Order: sequence, then structure tokens, then C-alpha cells
Amino acid sequence: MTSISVFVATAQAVHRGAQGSSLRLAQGVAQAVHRGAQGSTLLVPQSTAQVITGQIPRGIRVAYSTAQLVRRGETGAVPREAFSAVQVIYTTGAPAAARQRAWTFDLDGHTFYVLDIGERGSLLFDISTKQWTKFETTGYGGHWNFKNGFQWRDGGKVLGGASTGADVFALNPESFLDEGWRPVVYTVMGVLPSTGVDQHRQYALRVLGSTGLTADGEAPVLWMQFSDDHGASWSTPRSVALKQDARQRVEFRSLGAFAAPGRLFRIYDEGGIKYIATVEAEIGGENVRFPA
Amino acid sequence: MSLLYACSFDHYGPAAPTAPVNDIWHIGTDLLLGDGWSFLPTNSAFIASIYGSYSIGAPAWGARAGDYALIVDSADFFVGGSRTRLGTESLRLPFPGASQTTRLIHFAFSVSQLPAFPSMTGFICDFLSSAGTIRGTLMVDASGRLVITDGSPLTTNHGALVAVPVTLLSTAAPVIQAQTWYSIGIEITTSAVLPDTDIKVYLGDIVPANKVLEGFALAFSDTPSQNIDILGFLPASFTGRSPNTGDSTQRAIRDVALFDTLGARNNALPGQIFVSAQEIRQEDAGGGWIANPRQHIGDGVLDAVTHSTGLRCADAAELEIGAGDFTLEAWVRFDVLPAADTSMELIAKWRAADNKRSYRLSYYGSDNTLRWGISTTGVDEIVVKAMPWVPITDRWYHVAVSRAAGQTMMFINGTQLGVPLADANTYYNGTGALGIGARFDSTTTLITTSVFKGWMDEVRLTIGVSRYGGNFTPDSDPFPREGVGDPSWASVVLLLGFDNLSLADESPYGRTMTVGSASSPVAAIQPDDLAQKHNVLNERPSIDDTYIEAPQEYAEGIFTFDALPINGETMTIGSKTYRWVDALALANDIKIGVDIPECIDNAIAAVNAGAGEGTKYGNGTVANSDALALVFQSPQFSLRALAVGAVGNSVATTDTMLDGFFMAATLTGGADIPADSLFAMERLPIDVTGVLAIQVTNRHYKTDAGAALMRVDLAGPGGAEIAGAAQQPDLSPAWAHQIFETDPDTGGGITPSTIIGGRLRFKRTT
Repeated sequence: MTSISVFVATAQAVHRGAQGSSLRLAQGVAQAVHRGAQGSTLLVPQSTAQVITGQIPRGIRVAYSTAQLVRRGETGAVPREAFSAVQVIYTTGAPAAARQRAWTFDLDGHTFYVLDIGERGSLLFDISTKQWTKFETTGYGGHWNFKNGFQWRDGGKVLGGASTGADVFALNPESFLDEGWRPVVYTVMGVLPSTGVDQHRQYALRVLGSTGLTADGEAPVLWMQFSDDHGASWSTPRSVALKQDARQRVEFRSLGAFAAPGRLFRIYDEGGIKYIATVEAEIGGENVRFPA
Repeated sequence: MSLLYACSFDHYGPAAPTAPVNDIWHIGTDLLLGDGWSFLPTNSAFIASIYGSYSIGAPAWGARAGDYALIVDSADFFVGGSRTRLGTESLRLPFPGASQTTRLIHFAFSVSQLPAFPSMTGFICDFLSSAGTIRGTLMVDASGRLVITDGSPLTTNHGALVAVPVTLLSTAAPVIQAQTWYSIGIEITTSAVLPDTDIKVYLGDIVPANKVLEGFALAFSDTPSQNIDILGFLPASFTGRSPNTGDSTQRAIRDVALFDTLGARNNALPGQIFVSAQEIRQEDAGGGWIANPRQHIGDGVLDAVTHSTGLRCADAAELEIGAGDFTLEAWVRFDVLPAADTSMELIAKWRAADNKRSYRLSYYGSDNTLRWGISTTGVDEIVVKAMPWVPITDRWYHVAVSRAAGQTMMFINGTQLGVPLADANTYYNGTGALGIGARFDSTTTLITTSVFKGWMDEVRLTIGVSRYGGNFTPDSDPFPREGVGDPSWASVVLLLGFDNLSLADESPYGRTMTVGSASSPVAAIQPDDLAQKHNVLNERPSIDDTYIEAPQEYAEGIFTFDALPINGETMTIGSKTYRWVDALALANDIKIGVDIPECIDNAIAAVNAGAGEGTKYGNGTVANSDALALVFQSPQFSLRALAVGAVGNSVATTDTMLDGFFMAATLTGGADIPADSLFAMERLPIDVTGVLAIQVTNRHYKTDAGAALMRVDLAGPGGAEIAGAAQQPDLSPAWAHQIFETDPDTGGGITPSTIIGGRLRFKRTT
């Protein structure tokens, strides 16, 4: 009987032996060519190449058979989590509001005069444009969650207090988010004028803007409604889930038909795109552009 | 703790009404049972017919601020004779924890139309004792008033009122309108010994104007236990009329929250509140919990769970293996394992009815083996390999059988199972269909008793080529579909990827695949749950076979004999060296047996210090302190580290033997409990102004008996953490809850910032 042991083979081992001989490779990194009589043994504890046999050996032993595959029992308990949801118990609205003192602040080159008149919310007069407007925070029932404001001129900030709790907020016209988490809803409107009695079929409304630039990783939504009666009634909101993908196509299709007095659009978002460049309406097979 | 339980119903997902069975109304798969809810509405008296339904869905007028509500639609009893209403006829929610005298209850209620039958319809909630006896009932009457009655019998006979409960309280004016959601807050206080009960009911915020009912020492029904321990929501109506003339209203509830008065927070009626079910998403860092989704390679897999009826292609000459090399492989994911007396066919060309058996890869429940069975005659089966293997359910495995030059090997996840065995057989050339997940008699007859129940992906049969001669790493990409990527492409005779919802054969032969049952077919599905861990956690209704898990592995090893040991040869396991001897003399001697099985038996006895001291192994030998020896299959035995985890990977396994060897110089595969996984919480609804609490509602289980504790912690935005209570999963999936009412960073109440900046931490502790 002859035996050959090769503990590290870096090339090939060729073995030709008599019956009962053994060829053993502790680590074969190339190929082992074996030709022997039945009963000889070829051992490859760790094979990284191929085994070629000229005759059927007594046995080819390729190790790494593992008991992990057969184990199952008391010691194998693995906890699995199949579902998880956070159920948040929350409130909406704001406590009954008392009238607050009037105050003023400058922002974006405009000077605002603020009248917080309790239950009717916060009315602001833009001295620059001579326009009244109303500021409100979503969820606060028409109130602006920015109480007893103060312009800290040296600090360059406009500060106000929360209606509940101890938070102090600063105005930031660039932010997508109120209070650090609540998406600010921005709304734009546009109109497709029509004076005739003919019906215009609208195939699509496309929004071109800063898709991909969204408030955060949460799924923001762009909503659209239209009105064919000067805003007296509005269609069911249609929505597009916005992605953080600059190439996303934002389009609303199959919008029916309209005649005079035209069609009014309202586009608004929740944590959505930063700006709208243009809105394209595809009407009766023609492309009609109008400013957003 | 003040919040005891919250339920939005959103987290269940929609659940269609299910036809009553045994006089019990069912809701989908009754998934909500165990999540606080204990019993479905039942006709316990069995002397009435029931109709109508319970479901989880969105009422036509909306589900308040959420997605779904619990809806009871026209549920009513048709009573032929005299019958009295019972406390079992509602969906029951026991109060968690100990029985208490004061209960704070909140839920939102709505009704499609005001009820038409006084005293018999409009039930909102029964107040039940711990025994389930009605002590009182809150209901809305035909005018829209809220009414509280006692628990005395409501009896009808052929639709006529015989007896009605006593009205204890009623609002002065109508307060409920149809198709409007109302936030109902109830404070109820019972006496320990008397039936007297105090009650306050608010609609909306807790201000005097919203207190619509208030009563003191009301004469609730007298029961052995006076406390209100169970709420029976939306009891079935009790008109006693036929389905066409009885109750036709829809009543709905959601935003259920139960409180006690014991803690520092939320210990008073909360006013108008909402409960939202927020999804969670994996942090970028991921953490160590491993996700096991249904989706595997590509976008599709074969679903053989919904219908376990297999797939087949007709016999063809190219499907005959004959005496040559071949490779049969597939990714499989068992949903269940076969019972002890049954088997499952994974891939089978096995037409037994008329003796046209060729080959089959099967899993046997009788001895938990993966078997490669063949026939050379079409009549008799030769089991070429039957290897012990117990797959863990709902986990993907690559399974392969390959023959190379008359040696057949079997692989699990690229690791050879056992040793190659001589297989010079010429497999029978039969006319049986090739079944996937089943076998077929005649050419089409599905054998339903041995169908595979699970999922499959990337099934490939290559004939004429042995692809695997040793251990390998299974490809995580789709198999090549052309010759450039696969030199053996021309030998591929069957290739199923199940992508694009297709069952088509993508091999060069493009075989016609036929489902095993036209009426209940297997199907290619696109689970779409592969991308992130949280995808498997956010399915509604929840899917128990998709999950994240935290395994803890023992290091293990295999010893293989080629021939009998030689006297004096040694093998070392951990700190102990064993010597093979012809005659026992010392401790740690192992007697060389007459054959390899006897050597294995002696070795296992020596390592474990089992029976046979002095005959199988030397006197004075003590059990190995590093590893346990286990039976595998001759010529191999296996070893497992005594210590769980990565520490076992340092247990030495070496030898000086000519004809035997360990698979590696140490045990391998030991793994510690993985790192915690952190999940962010979905952004709150936009109109939230305050947060009372967070309830983490999860559904968990464990794979085997034994210790597997876990918990869910809340990490605040600033990094401080509150540890959740230990959760002990059971073998069966079950609901669990963890309530947080305090911000970890500030010690104050939960705020929106706690949620926006906070994280949930999934931690396995044992």
C-alpha cells in the first residue's frame, strides 16, 4: 500500500497507484487528477477546484457537511417579529384661545402687523402690499401656533411661543416643516379660461418643478383638485406620491371635459416639491401652457 | 402606567365579513382576537338565527381620521320564540390588568342612520362584569339621544318586546346624528359591594358643555363582581325580526383607548383623541435582526401555499437522466413541514400508479429526511440518499442534488449534506410528467397527499452536467438565461424563475407548464417585500411568515470517517484529546469498533460521557466541557459547542488520523445575538397638536421551544432610552403591546418630537 499526503497543493497532483493506495490533499487549490483501482481513496477536505477521477474511487470525501442544517430543538428558539405598528394616541385642535397683544415683524422685505384675535385666529396685515391675510397652523383649528411673537432684531429672528407646552418657535420661510416635523402645505392655483360653449377634453395636467427635492424621506404627496364653476365646488382630490427622484413624472390624467367659464386648478402638497416651474395642460390634443 | 390599551383598527388592515360559523360572527381571519379582543359576537343561546355581519373597513361616510373602523352591518337576531339578550352577543374587550372600580373609556362612534326599533337596536356598548354579565348598556335611541340602561333582561317573542331593561339615564336632547363621528369619553365608577354605579359621559373635549350624561349610584344590575371588567362593543341588534324587516343600520367604532387613574400621566378622561397606526422604517444602519421576506430572486416566486396543487410539464426525452450526470436545484421555503406520516414532493417525475417512476426529490416527515429517490425499473424505488434535515419554516434554502461520475451529492445552501454516495443507476425512462411541488400519476393526475406547501424560486434541471462537486455559494442572482453566462446552457432542460408573474419555462426548450389544478392553481406572485426590513413588518393584514428575526447560533462541526481508526490515533475536541485504542486503558480512550457505525457510537458516548464507560470508552472519562456529540449519519457524527454564540467557534477540532477528519480546525458557525435594530416612526398625521402616548403593537413568535426573550425600547431624540418590558414570544404568532407615556430624554410627556426624532429599538435579550 502506498500513501501520498499533500498538505498544500499549489498546482496539480497526479496520482497513479495500486489498489488500496490513498491520495490525500489537505488543501487543494488547483486540480487533482486521480486514476487508481477501485478501493483507493481521494481525500479533499477543502476543495476549491475540481476533482477528476478515471475510475470510481472507494469514496470522495468532501467535508463541510454541517450540523447546523439538522439542528432543531429546544436550543434553537429564535424570536421572530412579523408585524409592528406604532399606535399613537394623539389630540388635535387647540385650547380655547384668548386674544393676544398685537405685534409686528419684518420678513422677506415685508412688514407684517399681527392681530391675534382669539377664536378667529391670527390676521396679518402686510404693510408693504396693503393686503390682509390669515396665518394658521395645520391641526390648530384655524389658529396660528405662534403666540405673543417678538422680533429679535439683533438675533435676526422672529420668535413666538407655542399655544401649549414650553416650546418657542422661530419663523423660517425656507422650511418645509412646521415645528420641525409638520409638513407645511403650499397651495398654488391656475385657470384654463374658456368662453365658448364647446366642450374641451382635458387629457392630462403635468406639473414640472423640483421633483426629488422633498421635505424628508417620508412619502410626500402632491394633491390636485379642479373646479368648473369658479370654485363653488371642487373635484375629489387626486394625488401623486412624490419620490426623491428628480426624474419623477408628475401627471394627472383623464380629467374629463369642461366648457365656459373654464377650469380652475388647485395644486397643493404635503412635504412636497420645493417649487413648481410650469404646469402643462393637455387639452383636446393640443398642449396649452399657462403659468403656475 | 395610565394608558392600558389602544386600538385604532387601522393596524389590522381591512377584514371582510365572514359568514357566521356555528352561530359566531367572524371578521376575516379573526386576526384581531388576542390583540386585546377576546371573543367574537356569538349566539350562545342557539335558539335564534343570526344575520348581518361584522367587518373592519371604511364606512361610506369615512373612518374619522384613520383608514378603518370596526363596522357592524345589520347584525341582528331572528328569534322564533322567547329569548333574552346576553352579554356574549358583542365583540368583547376585557380591561387589561387587575379589576378596578374606576374605568376611563374612550372610543369614537358613528352610525349610518338612527335606529328604528326602540330598545332593540342602537346598542353601542355593554358594560360587562368579569363573568360577562351585562350590568348596563350605552345606546342611542331613534331620536339621537344617548341612553344608559341597566342589565335587566331584554326579551322578545316573535319580534315583540316582552321585557326591556330599565332606563337609568338619557340625554336631555338628541346628541347623535347619523354619519357623524363622535368622540365618547366615559368615566365609570363601581362600588365594591353594591350595584350602585357612578357614570359620566362626554362627547368631545372634557368641558362642562360636553358632559351629556351624569348619574350617581345608578342601579346597574347586581352581579357577584360589581366592577366593569369587560366592554362589549357593538352588540348585535335584537329585533327578533326576519332579515328583511330587522335592523339595517351600520354602527362603527374606532380609536378605542382604555385608561386607569393610577399613573402620573393620562389618568383622567382624555377628551377628544385619535389613535393612528404609524408604520416604522428601518434605520440606514440596519441593525442585526435579519429579514426573511417572501420575495427572493427577481420579482416573483411560486406561491404553493394559497393553493398547494403543483405545476407540471409533460414528459420529454430531454428530461430523462439515464446514467449520466445531472444537477437538480431549487430555492425552497417551507410554509409547513409534512406530518409524521406524510411527505412532500419538491420535484418529481414519479408516476407510481402504472409503474413509471423515474426520480424525485422529496421531504419526508416520518424521519425528517430530504430524499433523492430513483427507480431503475419504474417499479421499485431506490433511495439513493436520505439525509436528516429539518428545515426551518418560512426561510429560504437552496436545495441541490448532483451526480458526478456515479457519485450523487446533496447540498443545502451549498453545503454538502452527508457524503457522496455511489449511484451508478440508470434512471428509468418513464412517461410521467415532471411535477414541481407535486407529483402526478398518469400524465395529469395530481397526487394531493404529497404536495409541497411553501414557496419556490429559480428551479433548474441540468442534465448531462454536474454543476457542483463540492461546497459552493449559491448564486443570489437569477440563473443565467443564455449561453454566455452559463457554459452548460444547452444542457438546461427546465428553468423556472416565476418572475413577471410568469410560470413559463425559460430553458432553451420552453416547455409548456400546466398548473396542477385549474380551479385552485398555484401562482407566481410578486411579494414586493425584499427591499427593506420594515417591508415585512408593515403588511396589513400582517403576514406571519414574513418577519425579522434575531438568531443565536451554536458553533458546530462534523467528523467524517473514511475507514476505521488506527490504534493510537487521536482526535482533539476543545481541551480534551481522545485516543483511539484497540483495548481501553486510560480515561479519554475510545475503543475502535468493528465498523464505522460502532466507532461513531463509541465516540459519541465518550464525548458525552454516556453509557458505556469501561466498554466503549475508558474509565474516568468525563463529559467534554466544550462540545456535545450528536448522531448524524454514518460515516459522520456532529459536534455542537456547549456554549451558545461565537465563543464556540474557538473550540478546537483537530486529529492525527489517517482515515478520518474534522471539517475544520475549530467548530464553526457560532453566532451571538445580533445587534439591536433601530426603526424610525412614520411621520404623524399633519393635524396632530399633542401626543398622549405611544403603543407599539407587534406580532411575534419563536421558532422552537426554549428561551427567546425580546423587548422593544424607545430611544428619545437625545439618545436616552426607556426599556420596554420583556416579551416572551410563544410558538404560535401572538400580539404584544408596549406602551410609552414618557419622553426618555426629558422625563416629561410624549411630544411629536419624541416620535419624529425617536427610534424604536428591537432587542433580543435571551
